[in-house]
Amino acid sequence: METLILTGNHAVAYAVKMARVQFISCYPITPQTGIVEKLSDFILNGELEAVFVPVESEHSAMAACIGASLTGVRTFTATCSHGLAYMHEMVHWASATRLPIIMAVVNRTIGPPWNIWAEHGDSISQRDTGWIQLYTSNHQEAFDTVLQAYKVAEDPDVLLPVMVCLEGFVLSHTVQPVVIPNQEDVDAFIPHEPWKHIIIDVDNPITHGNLQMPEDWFYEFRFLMHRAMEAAKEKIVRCSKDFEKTFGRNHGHLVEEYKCDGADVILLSMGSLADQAKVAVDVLRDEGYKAGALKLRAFRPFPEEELRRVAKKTKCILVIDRNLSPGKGGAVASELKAALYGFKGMPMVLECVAGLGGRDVTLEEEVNLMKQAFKVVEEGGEPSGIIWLGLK
Amino acid sequence: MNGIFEVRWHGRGGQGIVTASKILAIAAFNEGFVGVQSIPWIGAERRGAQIEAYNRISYAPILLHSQVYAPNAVIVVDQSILSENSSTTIRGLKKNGFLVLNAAHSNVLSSLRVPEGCSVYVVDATSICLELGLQVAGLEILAIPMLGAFAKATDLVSIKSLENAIKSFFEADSVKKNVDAILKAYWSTRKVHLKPEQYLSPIPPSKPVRIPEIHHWTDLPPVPTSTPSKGSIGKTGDWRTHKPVVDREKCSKCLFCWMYCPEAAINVDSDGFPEIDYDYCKGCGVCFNECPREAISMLVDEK
Repeated sequence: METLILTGNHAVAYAVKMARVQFISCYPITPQTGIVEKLSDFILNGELEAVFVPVESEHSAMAACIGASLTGVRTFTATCSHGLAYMHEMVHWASATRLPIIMAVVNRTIGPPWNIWAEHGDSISQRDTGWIQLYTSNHQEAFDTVLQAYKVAEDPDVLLPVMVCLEGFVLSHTVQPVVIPNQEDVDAFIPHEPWKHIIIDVDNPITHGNLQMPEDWFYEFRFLMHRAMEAAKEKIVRCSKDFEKTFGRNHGHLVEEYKCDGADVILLSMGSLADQAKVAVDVLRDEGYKAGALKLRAFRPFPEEELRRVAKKTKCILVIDRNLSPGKGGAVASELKAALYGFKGMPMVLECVAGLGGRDVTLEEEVNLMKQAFKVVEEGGEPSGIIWLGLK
Repeated sequence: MNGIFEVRWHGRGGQGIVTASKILAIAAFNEGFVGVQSIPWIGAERRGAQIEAYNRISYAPILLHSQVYAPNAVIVVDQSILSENSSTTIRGLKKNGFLVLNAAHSNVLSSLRVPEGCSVYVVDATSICLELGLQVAGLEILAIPMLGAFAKATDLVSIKSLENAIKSFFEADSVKKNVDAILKAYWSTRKVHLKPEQYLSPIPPSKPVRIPEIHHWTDLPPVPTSTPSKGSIGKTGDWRTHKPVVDREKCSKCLFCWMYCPEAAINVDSDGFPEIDYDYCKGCGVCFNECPREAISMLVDEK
């Protein structure tokens, strides 16, 4: 065990190496490039025994991972933004073929106008593809979540690919200490057993993805994907608990609560802003506000029960979304409200869209936002549309 | 007529039932029905495979968009379908409904089972098409004369409306042939009376089942896979109307036919000649087209 000072990208690359990934296919794109470069180095210097297939596009990168995963080997790719959008068709193919491929998404805005900085909109756009989506708040969590992702994805009750999301530049290009565990412990945590539901073998050819007529079983195959997502909720929690037993770290399971008990306002967010929200809560608590923070770690599967459990404790949930669906609002706020609707004792939900295109969100801004929410609660007000943070 | 009159067409890919159902919709509209609908059943486009199409005809606008399960009339344009699977063709057919058949051979009628009160009409559509040369790419467009038979049987659309529909649908030079086919069929369609024991209780409507060995989602693997097997969807040779025949005198054993056959239904015999597997040959004619020696001819398949 050692502690290294790593960029978020390199933290991901180290985790991929320790997971003993056997096949990697990537197309470089800013700000994900550091992952690809580091993995290439690991393969070149013999630290990682894997096949690296350079390709001409992200669409091909995922296609190559699908082909490799069909032989039962552990695979990895990474992309973001326009690359992820270009990959979209194959993203569906990976999940509907139920292949446990892991992909790091180094969240970046989709243009135009051209912008290479942090935003969750690229992976949120892939919401309905049937991939598990885990959002990470710091370098250590990115490292740990890659390891956890393999365990969850390869579970026979799940068999779904996982996106491990970290914000571009905010996490990918900054450095922080990352504890690198012993290889034996990682090997014991995620032993590799090839999946059995589909294996390509040249001596025993099969066809997959065959035509399903409307009256056949297509509907049921989609039902099975949904069921696997539901099963993944419990598996993510169990995996996270097992991880804590082995490695002593816990980043929350599906959601992470911070001082939510007795809080009148809880700030809900994903990624780096969720880490920062904890500091905002401490500031507010010092000033006498009953504040709490909630980190949404799993966006798919969406942890409705856990969110309701926390929601019951409070008067108001303030959501910061680092993504925007023009004409509606932020994805997390929308889905949270849908999850709470119709249940007794649910709080008011206020929504804020912030940090698009990498616009920096400061601690002070998060604190002030929460104070705004406290004011609405005290005055017995109602939600009044999206709060635009620092709109010029 | 009260409510909606529903029609189900049975035919094989290439015999024109989708076209004919569109023409029937136009004709019914010409006739004064405000609500008309033509619905193709979209499967994998397979020439010769069994396919269905549907019509709805009503005096009021139609808001239904599902397929037809309990038709008032069933039109079977290819009699081999009837002999293969008559319970499929009459499933859901209403009591006192209409069954309109292309039946050149009366032996088909003797094995027929129909819902009680059902009126059965027959016409020799195949002969009409052959006589008029109503063929496209080697297949008789059997569904066109069946429009005439349907008009005679149900009295829902007039010959005049059908003629106008044909005129609006086809290029001028092919109108006459199609109209003639409808007229000939109209005048030669006859009602037949079956033996009392051939009339049964109606078969309840049902959705088709294509993979009967699976019953429930718990039987499913996470991903559908299949292993290569010969004829997994049945003997596709039944889809054929014309069959390729190799003339060994002309054949040079170049095996272009073997290479080009899209269905791998040509084998090579011990003398090196191509040998057509008629159990699976769909009669597409690709081998006939590719043979450099013109050693393959396409003959009408008398099944």
